[in-house]
Amino acid sequence: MPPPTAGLGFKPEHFANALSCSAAGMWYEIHAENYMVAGGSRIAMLDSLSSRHPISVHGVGLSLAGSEEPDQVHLQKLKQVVERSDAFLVSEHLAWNRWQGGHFPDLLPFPRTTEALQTMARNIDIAQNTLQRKLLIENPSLYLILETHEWSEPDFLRELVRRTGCGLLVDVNNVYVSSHNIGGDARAYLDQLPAAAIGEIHVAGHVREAHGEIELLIDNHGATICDDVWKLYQHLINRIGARPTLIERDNAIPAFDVLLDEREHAVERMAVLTEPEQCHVHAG
Amino acid sequence: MSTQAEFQSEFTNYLLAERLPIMPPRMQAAMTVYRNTVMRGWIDALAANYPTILKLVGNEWFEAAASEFCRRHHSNTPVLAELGASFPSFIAEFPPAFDLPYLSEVANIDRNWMKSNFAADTASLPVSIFQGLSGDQLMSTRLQLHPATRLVACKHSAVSIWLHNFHNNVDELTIDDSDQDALITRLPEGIVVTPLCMIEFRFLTEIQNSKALGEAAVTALGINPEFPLAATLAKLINLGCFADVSPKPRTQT
Repeated sequence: MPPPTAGLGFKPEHFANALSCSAAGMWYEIHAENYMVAGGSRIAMLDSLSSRHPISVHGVGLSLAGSEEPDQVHLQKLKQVVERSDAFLVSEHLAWNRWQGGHFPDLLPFPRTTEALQTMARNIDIAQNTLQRKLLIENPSLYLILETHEWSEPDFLRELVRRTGCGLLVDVNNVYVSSHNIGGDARAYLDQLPAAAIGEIHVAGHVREAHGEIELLIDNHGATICDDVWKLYQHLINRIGARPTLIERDNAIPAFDVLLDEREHAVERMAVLTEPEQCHVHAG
Repeated sequence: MSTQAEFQSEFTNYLLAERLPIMPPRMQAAMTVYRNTVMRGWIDALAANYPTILKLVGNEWFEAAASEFCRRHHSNTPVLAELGASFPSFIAEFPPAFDLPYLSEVANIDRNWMKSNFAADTASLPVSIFQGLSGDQLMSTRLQLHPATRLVACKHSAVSIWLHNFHNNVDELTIDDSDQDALITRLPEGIVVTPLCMIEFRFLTEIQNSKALGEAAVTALGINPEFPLAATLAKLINLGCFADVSPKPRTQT
């Protein structure tokens, strides 16, 4: 099997096309929480898909940036999904979504303090020890300006990598959206990330949303990827080389062929890189 | 409480407040995005888990009911398929649904359809299992429901309404209070919802409660001496209702 190049977020409505797709280097990413069920058609679909294509497991519910330790039941379920799909990549977020038993379907911000760094490093250690796998941590899209940060996001991520041995998933669209919403230079941000730790890249679409005088970019995964995001992607891979790259689409999902066309943009950009090692896949 | 925990606590209060307190416009815009995303996530998950309710009441009504539900019942799970377990009982007590008495029961069928869809995999009992058994052996057999088999007690024509919507039937449906319960089973080709009469429901409930086939038959025949035991059993087995027999019935030698 050729090494994974660019992949698509798996959608059950695309199952037949996804399964039979013969594009070289194709892989699929699943949201772990959708497969935390005992059995039935969804699990059968995952079993078929993982027998034919590499699977990346993307968790959205571990709440690693929360002050509480990861929920052990949830972690065990994540381990089952990772093992069942024989995942080649496992990722989670620089965000929280659980608080005192309640759970929110979003990736929430926090002040990047030294205290938060310590708890997040502890939580990543717990998760990696349970999973016996390296986790890639993804930068979230940000909307809220916080005055109490003690660390920049790239420095915070770099320090997490140093302390826990985790890797990074760089969401280029999130960097673009966040730099618009809270300020900062997106290219400079990407340049500060440790290249060797980056194991995966996400690219996605976003929308503009007006709130009175204020215009925010919303990372809705529901639109075509814009040129500026592709330029940022090119900027990143020119420096770090090719990495498994996901076309992330979760809303207003078009036909499979439309996503394949978007995927080609990433494949072509990776193919012309001069670096001898075209695609690094971080095992285990 | 740590500074980080204090931040989470305060942020959670903003997420769940009926309305945001006065704050600087930039912060208000950002908090609105988070609040919208969280509420949208919950409502979309509820809509995915209760598709027949959404079809019956339409978007506007559903969103109003779902928002009210989400404000009162904060989700405790990141697994969206599990979200809204108490939505059927919420609907039963939701004043705008008082003149739709079937709605809560239809929601209960949706809920159990989901449970059936995600239940553990195991082989169904084949019809051939009873071949060669004596009457006594058959009657002492205890059957076990398949993990994907769900029984839902209904009134108010809920099963007919559910099936009518599932099949996108455009004919007018007569709604009465006929006594019909729902059996939900999983076959290789998909989930099947079957109406059960009261006696069939009682018969299956006895089996679910670990009664031997003979005891369940006595209950059913006590209600109606004409109860077609063999035909009912064959129908239920063909629907994939059972998982295993314990102990394995022995054939006559």
